[in-house]
Amino acid sequence: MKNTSSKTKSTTMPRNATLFLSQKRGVSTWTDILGDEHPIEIFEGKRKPISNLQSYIQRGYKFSENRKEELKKAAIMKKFIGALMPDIQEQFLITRRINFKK
Amino acid sequence: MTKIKIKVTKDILARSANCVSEIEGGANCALALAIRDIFPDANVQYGVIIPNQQDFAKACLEINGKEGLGMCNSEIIKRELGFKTSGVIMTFMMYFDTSTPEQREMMKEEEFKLELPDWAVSKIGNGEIEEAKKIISSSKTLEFV
Repeated sequence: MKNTSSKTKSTTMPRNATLFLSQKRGVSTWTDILGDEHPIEIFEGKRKPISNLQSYIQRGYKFSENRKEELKKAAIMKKFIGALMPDIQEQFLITRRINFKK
Repeated sequence: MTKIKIKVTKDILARSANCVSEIEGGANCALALAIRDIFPDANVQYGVIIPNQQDFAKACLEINGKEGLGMCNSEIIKRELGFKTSGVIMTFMMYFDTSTPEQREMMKEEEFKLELPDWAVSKIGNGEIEEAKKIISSSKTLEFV
Protein backbone atom coordinates (compact mmCIF):
# COMPACT_ATOMS: atom_id res chain seq x y z
CA MET A 1 0.00 0.00 0.00
CA LYS A 2 2.84 2.35 0.89
CA ASN A 3 4.50 1.94 -2.51
CA THR A 4 1.32 2.57 -4.42
CA SER A 5 0.67 5.74 -2.49
CA SER A 6 4.17 7.05 -3.13
CA LYS A 7 3.93 6.31 -6.87
CA THR A 8 0.64 8.15 -7.20
CA LYS A 9 2.07 11.21 -5.51
CA SER A 10 5.07 11.27 -7.81
CA THR A 11 3.11 10.98 -11.07
CA THR A 12 0.66 13.70 -10.15
CA MET A 13 3.42 16.25 -9.62
CA PRO A 14 3.49 18.77 -12.45
CA ARG A 15 6.55 18.15 -14.61
CA ASN A 16 7.56 21.78 -14.59
CA ALA A 17 7.06 22.29 -10.89
CA THR A 18 9.34 25.07 -9.81
CA LEU A 19 12.05 24.66 -7.28
CA PHE A 20 10.28 27.37 -5.33
CA LEU A 21 7.55 24.85 -4.66
CA SER A 22 10.06 22.08 -4.19
CA GLN A 23 11.89 24.21 -1.68
CA LYS A 24 9.52 23.02 1.00
CA ARG A 25 10.66 19.51 0.19
CA GLY A 26 14.30 20.37 0.85
CA VAL A 27 15.57 22.28 -2.19
CA SER A 28 16.97 25.41 -0.68
CA THR A 29 20.56 25.88 -1.80
CA TRP A 30 22.53 26.07 -5.03
CA THR A 31 24.01 22.67 -4.20
CA ASP A 32 20.49 21.24 -4.41
CA ILE A 33 20.37 22.47 -8.00
CA LEU A 34 23.96 22.20 -9.14
CA GLY A 35 25.01 19.15 -7.15
CA ASP A 36 28.10 18.61 -5.05
CA GLU A 37 30.48 18.56 -7.97
CA HIS A 38 29.59 22.15 -8.82
CA PRO A 39 30.78 24.17 -5.86
CA ILE A 40 28.88 27.22 -4.74
CA GLU A 41 32.10 29.16 -4.76
CA ILE A 42 33.21 30.27 -8.19
CA PHE A 43 36.30 31.93 -9.58
CA GLU A 44 36.18 35.68 -10.01
CA GLY A 45 39.89 36.33 -9.89
CA LYS A 46 39.60 35.09 -6.36
CA ARG A 47 36.94 32.82 -4.94
CA LYS A 48 33.64 34.54 -4.44
CA PRO A 49 30.40 32.94 -3.32
CA ILE A 50 27.33 33.09 -5.51
CA SER A 51 24.48 34.95 -3.84
CA ASN A 52 22.15 32.83 -1.77
CA LEU A 53 19.49 30.96 -3.75
CA GLN A 54 16.85 32.29 -1.38
CA SER A 55 17.67 35.87 -2.31
CA TYR A 56 16.95 35.02 -5.94
CA ILE A 57 13.68 33.34 -5.05
CA GLN A 58 12.67 36.39 -3.01
CA ARG A 59 13.32 38.61 -6.03
CA GLY A 60 10.90 36.54 -8.10
CA TYR A 61 13.21 34.12 -9.90
CA LYS A 62 11.66 30.78 -10.72
CA PHE A 63 13.82 27.74 -11.21
CA SER A 64 12.03 25.13 -13.24
CA GLU A 65 13.25 21.55 -13.15
CA ASN A 66 14.14 21.61 -16.83
CA ARG A 67 16.65 24.42 -16.23
CA LYS A 68 18.83 22.40 -13.88
CA GLU A 69 21.04 21.05 -16.66
CA GLU A 70 21.35 24.48 -18.23
CA LEU A 71 22.48 25.94 -14.93
CA LYS A 72 24.90 23.09 -14.31
CA LYS A 73 26.53 23.56 -17.72
CA ALA A 74 26.78 27.30 -17.17
CA ALA A 75 28.30 26.80 -13.72
CA ILE A 76 31.09 24.71 -15.21
CA MET A 77 31.89 27.38 -17.79
CA LYS A 78 31.73 30.05 -15.14
CA LYS A 79 34.75 28.49 -13.49
CA PHE A 80 36.71 29.14 -16.65
CA ILE A 81 35.31 32.47 -17.69
CA GLY A 82 34.54 34.06 -14.33
CA ALA A 83 37.64 36.19 -14.21
CA LEU A 84 37.97 36.88 -17.86
CA MET A 85 39.70 40.12 -18.64
CA PRO A 86 39.49 41.53 -15.12
CA ASP A 87 41.47 44.59 -16.14
CA ILE A 88 39.02 45.50 -18.89
CA GLN A 89 36.00 44.64 -16.76
CA GLU A 90 37.29 46.87 -14.02
CA GLN A 91 37.57 49.80 -16.45
CA PHE A 92 34.04 49.29 -17.69
CA LEU A 93 32.59 48.95 -14.23
CA ILE A 94 34.14 52.28 -13.30
CA THR A 95 32.67 53.84 -16.45
CA ARG A 96 29.25 52.44 -15.68
CA ARG A 97 29.34 53.66 -12.10
CA ILE A 98 29.94 57.14 -13.46
CA ASN A 99 27.07 56.73 -15.91
CA PHE A 100 24.71 55.67 -13.19
CA LYS A 101 25.66 58.64 -11.06
CA LYS A 102 24.54 60.93 -13.88
CA MET B 1 35.07 43.86 -40.10
CA THR B 2 31.32 43.21 -40.41
CA LYS B 3 28.81 45.47 -38.70
CA ILE B 4 25.58 43.97 -37.44
CA LYS B 5 22.66 45.07 -35.30
CA ILE B 6 21.59 42.97 -32.31
CA LYS B 7 17.91 43.20 -31.44
CA VAL B 8 16.95 42.38 -27.88
CA THR B 9 13.27 41.70 -28.56
CA LYS B 10 10.44 41.24 -26.10
CA ASP B 11 10.63 37.52 -26.80
CA ILE B 12 14.31 37.50 -25.84
CA LEU B 13 13.58 39.47 -22.67
CA ALA B 14 10.82 37.05 -21.73
CA ARG B 15 12.96 33.98 -22.39
CA SER B 16 15.89 35.34 -20.41
CA ALA B 17 13.90 36.84 -17.53
CA ASN B 18 14.92 34.10 -15.09
CA CYS B 19 18.58 34.12 -16.11
CA VAL B 20 20.88 34.02 -13.07
CA SER B 21 23.53 36.49 -14.15
CA GLU B 22 26.00 35.35 -11.52
CA ILE B 23 26.10 31.84 -12.90
CA GLU B 24 24.78 31.85 -16.44
CA GLY B 25 24.91 35.51 -17.42
CA GLY B 26 27.40 34.89 -20.19
CA ALA B 27 25.60 31.94 -21.66
CA ASN B 28 21.85 32.33 -21.23
CA CYS B 29 20.97 35.97 -20.57
CA ALA B 30 19.49 38.39 -23.10
CA LEU B 31 22.49 39.18 -25.28
CA ALA B 32 23.69 35.60 -25.43
CA LEU B 33 20.23 34.56 -26.63
CA ALA B 34 20.11 37.42 -29.13
CA ILE B 35 23.32 36.28 -30.85
CA ARG B 36 22.60 32.56 -30.55
CA ASP B 37 21.74 32.24 -34.24
CA ILE B 38 25.33 33.05 -35.20
CA PHE B 39 27.14 31.85 -32.08
CA PRO B 40 25.14 29.03 -30.45
CA ASP B 41 27.82 28.36 -27.83
CA ALA B 42 28.80 31.96 -27.11
CA ASN B 43 29.61 33.50 -23.78
CA VAL B 44 28.91 37.20 -23.44
CA GLN B 45 30.88 38.95 -20.74
CA TYR B 46 31.17 42.61 -19.77
CA GLY B 47 33.39 43.97 -22.49
CA VAL B 48 33.96 40.84 -24.53
CA ILE B 49 32.10 38.20 -26.50
CA ILE B 50 33.55 34.72 -26.76
CA PRO B 51 31.96 33.08 -29.82
CA ASN B 52 32.78 29.56 -28.65
CA GLN B 53 33.08 29.09 -24.92
CA GLN B 54 34.27 25.49 -25.26
CA ASP B 55 37.26 26.67 -27.30
CA PHE B 56 37.99 29.22 -24.65
CA ALA B 57 37.81 26.70 -21.84
CA LYS B 58 40.28 24.43 -23.64
CA ALA B 59 42.65 27.32 -24.33
CA CYS B 60 42.40 28.51 -20.74
CA LEU B 61 43.36 25.07 -19.44
CA GLU B 62 46.21 24.92 -21.93
CA ILE B 63 47.52 28.32 -20.88
CA ASN B 64 47.18 28.12 -17.15
CA GLY B 65 46.42 24.54 -16.24
CA LYS B 66 43.86 23.61 -13.64
CA GLU B 67 45.26 26.08 -11.16
CA GLY B 68 44.54 28.97 -13.46
CA LEU B 69 40.87 28.39 -14.18
CA GLY B 70 39.19 31.70 -14.82
CA MET B 71 42.47 33.57 -15.02
CA CYS B 72 43.19 33.71 -18.74
CA ASN B 73 43.04 37.48 -18.93
CA SER B 74 44.01 39.04 -22.22
CA GLU B 75 45.33 35.75 -23.63
CA ILE B 76 41.88 35.23 -25.06
CA ILE B 77 42.16 38.27 -27.30
CA LYS B 78 45.67 37.35 -28.42
CA ARG B 79 44.39 33.97 -29.49
CA GLU B 80 41.39 35.41 -31.30
CA LEU B 81 38.86 33.66 -29.10
CA GLY B 82 37.02 36.79 -28.09
CA PHE B 83 36.30 40.33 -29.29
CA LYS B 84 35.39 43.52 -27.54
CA THR B 85 31.91 45.02 -27.33
CA SER B 86 30.75 48.60 -26.91
CA GLY B 87 30.11 50.49 -23.69
CA VAL B 88 26.41 50.78 -24.58
CA ILE B 89 26.11 47.00 -24.64
CA MET B 90 27.81 46.73 -21.29
CA THR B 91 25.56 49.35 -19.77
CA PHE B 92 22.55 47.37 -20.96
CA MET B 93 24.06 44.19 -19.50
CA MET B 94 24.49 45.77 -16.11
CA TYR B 95 20.96 47.15 -16.20
CA PHE B 96 19.65 43.70 -17.16
CA ASP B 97 21.77 41.87 -14.59
CA THR B 98 20.58 44.04 -11.74
CA SER B 99 16.89 43.80 -12.69
CA THR B 100 14.41 41.27 -11.34
CA PRO B 101 12.62 38.82 -13.66
CA GLU B 102 9.51 41.00 -13.56
CA GLN B 103 11.47 44.14 -14.41
CA ARG B 104 13.23 42.34 -17.26
CA GLU B 105 9.93 41.34 -18.83
CA MET B 106 8.81 44.95 -18.65
CA MET B 107 11.98 46.35 -20.24
CA LYS B 108 11.60 47.86 -23.67
CA GLU B 109 13.20 46.35 -26.74
CA GLU B 110 16.74 47.50 -27.47
CA GLU B 111 19.04 47.46 -30.47
CA PHE B 112 22.82 47.54 -30.40
CA LYS B 113 25.47 47.78 -33.07
CA LEU B 114 28.24 45.22 -32.97
CA GLU B 115 31.41 44.96 -35.00
CA LEU B 116 32.39 41.40 -35.82
CA PRO B 117 36.04 40.88 -36.66
CA ASP B 118 36.68 38.72 -39.73
CA TRP B 119 37.91 35.79 -37.68
CA ALA B 120 34.63 35.81 -35.73
CA VAL B 121 32.59 35.87 -38.95
CA SER B 122 34.51 32.80 -40.05
CA LYS B 123 33.14 30.97 -36.99
CA ILE B 124 29.55 31.40 -38.15
CA GLY B 125 27.94 28.33 -39.71
CA ASN B 126 30.33 26.48 -42.01
CA GLY B 127 32.76 29.39 -42.06
CA GLU B 128 31.75 30.62 -45.50
CA ILE B 129 30.79 34.28 -45.70
CA GLU B 130 27.75 33.49 -47.82
CA GLU B 131 26.37 31.20 -45.16
CA ALA B 132 27.06 33.80 -42.49
CA LYS B 133 25.07 36.33 -44.51
CA LYS B 134 22.24 33.85 -44.94
CA ILE B 135 22.09 33.09 -41.21
CA ILE B 136 22.13 36.76 -40.21
CA SER B 137 19.52 37.70 -42.84
CA SER B 138 17.12 35.02 -41.65
CA SER B 139 17.59 35.80 -37.95
CA LYS B 140 14.85 37.56 -36.01
CA THR B 141 17.36 39.14 -33.66
CA LEU B 142 20.21 40.08 -36.01
CA GLU B 143 20.52 42.38 -38.97
CA PHE B 144 23.28 43.76 -41.18
CA VAL B 145 24.00 47.45 -40.69
